[in-house]
Amino acid sequence: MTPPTDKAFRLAQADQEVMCCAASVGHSVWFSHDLGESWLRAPTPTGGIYNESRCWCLATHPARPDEVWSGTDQGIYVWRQSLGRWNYMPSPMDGLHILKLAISPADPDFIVAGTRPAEIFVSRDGGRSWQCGALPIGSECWFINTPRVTSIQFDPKEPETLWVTIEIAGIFRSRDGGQNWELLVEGLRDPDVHNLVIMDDLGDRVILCSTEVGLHRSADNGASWEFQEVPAAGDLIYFRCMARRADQSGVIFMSIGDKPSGKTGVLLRSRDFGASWEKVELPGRVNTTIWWIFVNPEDPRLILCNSIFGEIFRSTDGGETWQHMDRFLGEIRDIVWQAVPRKVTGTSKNL
Amino acid sequence: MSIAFYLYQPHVYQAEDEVVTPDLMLTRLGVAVAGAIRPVSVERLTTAVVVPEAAGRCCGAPAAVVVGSSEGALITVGAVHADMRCLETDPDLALYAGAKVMSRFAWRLSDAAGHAKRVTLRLVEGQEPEGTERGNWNLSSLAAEHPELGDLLAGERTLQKGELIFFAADHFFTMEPWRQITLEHPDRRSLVHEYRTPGLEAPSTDGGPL
Repeated sequence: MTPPTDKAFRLAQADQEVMCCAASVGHSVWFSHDLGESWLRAPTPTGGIYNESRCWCLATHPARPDEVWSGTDQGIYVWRQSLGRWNYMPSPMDGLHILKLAISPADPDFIVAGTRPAEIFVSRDGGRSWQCGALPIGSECWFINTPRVTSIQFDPKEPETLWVTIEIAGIFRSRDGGQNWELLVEGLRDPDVHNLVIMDDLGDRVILCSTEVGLHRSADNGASWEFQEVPAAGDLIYFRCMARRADQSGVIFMSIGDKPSGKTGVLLRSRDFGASWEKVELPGRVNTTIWWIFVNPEDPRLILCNSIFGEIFRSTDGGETWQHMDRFLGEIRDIVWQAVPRKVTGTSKNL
Repeated sequence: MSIAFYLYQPHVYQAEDEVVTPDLMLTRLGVAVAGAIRPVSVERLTTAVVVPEAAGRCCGAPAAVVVGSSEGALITVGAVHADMRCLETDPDLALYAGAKVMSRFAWRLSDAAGHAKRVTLRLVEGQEPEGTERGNWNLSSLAAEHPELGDLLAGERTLQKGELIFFAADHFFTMEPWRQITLEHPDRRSLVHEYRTPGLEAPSTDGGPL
């Protein structure tokens, strides 16, 4: 299925600008206002953040187009495009690696953060105060020693239900906004879990889960999981990120590599809600595992993804074709884009 | 879970060539003194090697420190600092007033439990790098003073993840400028924490050059 054509491409709208952001481990956050062709950082003296910070994640919300949130190892920072600077936001997470941030689609003040060591912190007031979710999880784990959060998602149907993946511990779900948690690992071949795609289009809910050893599928809302063969993956087994195109099609993208810091990676595409997969033709050779794939309902056709070693790929046709951006940005952990009103970007002092 | 924590990053010697380095969020700190385990703010924890304290007011006792962890509790070496002026009259205030010093090197408690009579806590103090041994205590003698330590060594109690207890030796010493606290094991690399305790200094406001 090709992407829908009835929605105006945001790039063509005179009152909107696309702002792309890439979270770098060692170079703070990069910004692009030309769809990834060129990138700049906020300057250290006036930008509000040390520009060699380790920034692990980004989050945006369409109701707050002026803001970009970043989780770092120095705390939470919020970029305000109208000010052209980052502002540090005090939180109890200072000192932790803030690896994931998620903002509720239903409420931009409902924010969830995931850290290393693995804990979940929840704010209901736009980040002014936080509660710790007290995950029922061990303090140590095999191989990486310290468990860490790899993804956070709000349930598409239940606004108070949160889904969290943690390596190396499994999938956790809270039905009360993060106060109580249940572990959902029945049938998983490995608790080293990375990401989820939750779909309610086919009558019954289907959830896909990417793990260190392959893809799993649940048809009972996470109560149990079955391993799913993916022949298109070839010899690669390190299944990392998944993202469903932000429309009603069944198109999903999934990244696979030889290992997190490996030598190669591929991007797969499903056109049937994850039942079957095909390899996406990316220009050139991917230098390692693709770490993040970003889709945005503001325009399902503009999709960004990045390898952990700084390669950026862009599609402007819903993932049918891809361009390799010239610029490498070092170690990149997250990438987003946000539609920003030009009246906001026009007032920026720096970027 | 308390939202306050201290991020402890121990190097755990599990075997000769096996060191694991988990990051642990410590949320509940207790100090076992005088027959009771007293809660102390985790904000008092430090693994620093320079710990300024008020000269003439602070005293310190060497301690074995047990830390809860999901893969098995840890044991490390540390010191309980306290304000000697009120140690008898208001021990909670006295404990709050001083740092709780701990090493970033640790063993699994299970590796020490079987050797409790031969695992020795030792305090040397003086002027760096020379000092005088002020005392030594084996784990069994500490456990006799602190039944909770005995229960932990015997596996009859456990600490939850994020909890830790300092089991202090029975003497609070006025502190010398340099301290070396050691936990010695018959088969394992010793755990050593050396640190200095300079007196507090007020900021200079003499208008000198920056």
